Amino acid sequence: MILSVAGVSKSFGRSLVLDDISLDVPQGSRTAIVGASGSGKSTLLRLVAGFERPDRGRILLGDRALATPSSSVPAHRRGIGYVAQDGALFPHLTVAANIAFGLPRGTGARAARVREVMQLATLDPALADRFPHELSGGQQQRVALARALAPRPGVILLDEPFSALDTGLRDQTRRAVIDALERSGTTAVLVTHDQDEALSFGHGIGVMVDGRLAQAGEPAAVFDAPATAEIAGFLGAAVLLPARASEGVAQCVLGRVRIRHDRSGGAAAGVAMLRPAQLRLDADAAERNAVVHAVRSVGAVAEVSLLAGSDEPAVVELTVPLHELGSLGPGSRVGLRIDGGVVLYPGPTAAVARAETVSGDAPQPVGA
Amino acid sequence: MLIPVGYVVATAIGLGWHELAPLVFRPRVGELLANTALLLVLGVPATIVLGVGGAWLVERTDLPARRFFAVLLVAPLAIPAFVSSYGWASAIPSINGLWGGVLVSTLAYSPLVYLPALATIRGLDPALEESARSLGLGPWAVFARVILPQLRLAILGGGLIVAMHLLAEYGAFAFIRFDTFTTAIVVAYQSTFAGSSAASLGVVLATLCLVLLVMEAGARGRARYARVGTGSPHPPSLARLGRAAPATVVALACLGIASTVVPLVNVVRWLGASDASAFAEIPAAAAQTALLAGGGALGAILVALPVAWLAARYPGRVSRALEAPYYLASSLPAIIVALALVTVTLRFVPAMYQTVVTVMAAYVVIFLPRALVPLRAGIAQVPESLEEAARSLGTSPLVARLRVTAPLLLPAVAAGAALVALGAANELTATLLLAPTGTRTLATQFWSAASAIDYPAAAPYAMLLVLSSIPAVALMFSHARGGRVR
Repeated sequence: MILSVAGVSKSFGRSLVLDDISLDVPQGSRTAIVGASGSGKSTLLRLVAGFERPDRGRILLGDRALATPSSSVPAHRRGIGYVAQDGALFPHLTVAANIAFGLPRGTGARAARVREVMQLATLDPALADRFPHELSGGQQQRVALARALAPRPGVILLDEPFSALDTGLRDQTRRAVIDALERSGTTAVLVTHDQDEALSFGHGIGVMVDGRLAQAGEPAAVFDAPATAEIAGFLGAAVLLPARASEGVAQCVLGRVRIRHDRSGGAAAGVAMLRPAQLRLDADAAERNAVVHAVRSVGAVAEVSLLAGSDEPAVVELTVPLHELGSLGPGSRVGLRIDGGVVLYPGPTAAVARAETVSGDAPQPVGA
Repeated sequence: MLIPVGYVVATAIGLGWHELAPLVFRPRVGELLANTALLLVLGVPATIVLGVGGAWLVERTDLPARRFFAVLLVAPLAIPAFVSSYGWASAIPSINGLWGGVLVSTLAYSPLVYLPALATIRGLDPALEESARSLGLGPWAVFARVILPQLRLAILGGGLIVAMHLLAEYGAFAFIRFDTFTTAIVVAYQSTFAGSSAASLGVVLATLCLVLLVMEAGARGRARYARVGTGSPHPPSLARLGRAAPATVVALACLGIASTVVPLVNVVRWLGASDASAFAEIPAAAAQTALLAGGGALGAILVALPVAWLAARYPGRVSRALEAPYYLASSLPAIIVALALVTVTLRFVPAMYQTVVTVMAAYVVIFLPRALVPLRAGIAQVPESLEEAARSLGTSPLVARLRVTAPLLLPAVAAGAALVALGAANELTATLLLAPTGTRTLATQFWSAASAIDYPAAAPYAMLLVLSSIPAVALMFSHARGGRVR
């Protein structure tokens, strides 16, 4: 059963929160919706869950219409699980009673199903008789997931379920949740503002910007070829360099580079985007095209900020293992090379990529 | 709910200016007005000083035996004001008039300021006081410049409640022959029934209430929505009383003796003098009290639930406008509510006149805020996401409320019901006017014996009223110490 959202719009008062959203989530897959706060991603989830009704558009699960402009299946008849940001565990019920909440009463299979989903969510069976306030944050979220999984819903929706957890616990809980979803084969939609979380969640990713679904696809493909420079910067550190383009090659301050995706519509000039991990620093290169501007050591690595090119130098930041840094320091001339191609966008753009944090007396960042 | 308000307005219009003016502008009314105004001007500040001072002493100083005094200061709440007045009047018959009224009412009502002040002080972050100390302020300056301003809402709210009680109190003042509007209305009612004299006094009394409400709302200003922090991250550092400690302990002990020990000792003294016949009617009276108070509590919860639900879930102008008449009607003295229900039942539904249902309806009107406030807080504390979670698990909205919201709301319902029932059990004026002939509650039985100066016969009822109040007072005290209703 495919979950499909078709042309859905939603306003609260005068503000348009969702603008013509269309998205398909295949059965058994995991899709993450990522966006800044206020981009409408939680509202999308609440529409699918049935807590709100769309103004326009349709939501279907298989061939069953969940919401159309004229009708809406109430939340409790949709068979769609929902895990809230804080877990929303019922404080007056034990862990076992919370998990059994959505299971039909009076059947002997309840206890067995509770044990089954607790195991699925890697919850210690000894926790069954505890109350929610006696659990850690990570345990609470895993109970919330187990509770949502117990009635075998067609789809599970997760609304920023890890954001309230601290860093170490977050990774561990995230892995446990993805594992449980994988083993149960449940279709899942996750909403998050964390790019890494979205990129690592599963099979699909959708990027929301200002109430629109700006791009959707497989995580690797979207990360590799973001539709706009803004999305590129939002999904991860990006280096943006002004470039002239001809015949699939971009000419920028770091030389000539292959254009692997042209998003500029064939323009002759634009902005080339690459990831800092593509940059190779070579102290002994024949052509030294950059000057070290500042070095900050952070544990085992060093964050190096360089001025690339001579006429209009661009600020480029990258991370280098400390042992590869050698004797490099401010003022050292080095060679900087780009591994793999770049993505070309129309430009110059006002978008400030995250790689271009400038400090001190450095010249203006490119494109600013 | 709007019957009492409508009654006052209709009376004022019905009598007309030409008939109302001579009834209002006469020496007797001037005398009552002076008495009532003096009572407010002397009594309200006195309760504020005792309540706020007491709360600060037990919470933020190194007062010896602080826990004992914390309980002693709230204890008068368990003694109905008319029982306290009976204790004093039966011990020292010469107590009367204004000073007697101020003494008795201040002692009886200071917990009404003490409790909100205590809750607020406990909710204050000690870091504020410590910052002030580090800026060079002494303990008294910290109290005056840091604590007191944050107590504004507690003082205004508590002061308003005390003022409303002073306006509404009948029994306590009748004992010591101190005339206020309420006692005068009861006297007028007893002589001329629901005549224009009682009605016109009622109009003046209701106007006084309205003036107080408006004054309090004005003084609150924007501070109304300010929220106090949820709790103390670390225990506060306590101000040292030093050489003032012994005198403070003696003063608090004297206060406790006057407010609690004197009334109780006298109740016990008369109890020793009462014969077996005084106890004969107690079971019947207790049963009738339980029936009426329980019915009132149930009714108040049923009426309060939808209003509290709207206020907590859909806060805004509409829900505030819906709430307002409830608070307005409930701030009218019980005597006016009673007069209104007498008039309305006689004129429109004579079958309801002096029935159990009418008494319960009066309790609902008079004590509704006691149910509304904990219910609203309780509902606000049940996150909507819990109901959404239940719905996503396949339960319909109604079942979700029954299975999730209702059990979580139970403590708030119990607290509200207990507070309404306590108020109803101690209620005198409306019960006297509205109850079916032959009704005997603990309060009315006490009253008929005590007002006939048969002190020994009244004592068992006084004792029962005090004992039955203790659980509800303990509940209020633990809420105040916990900082919020849970």
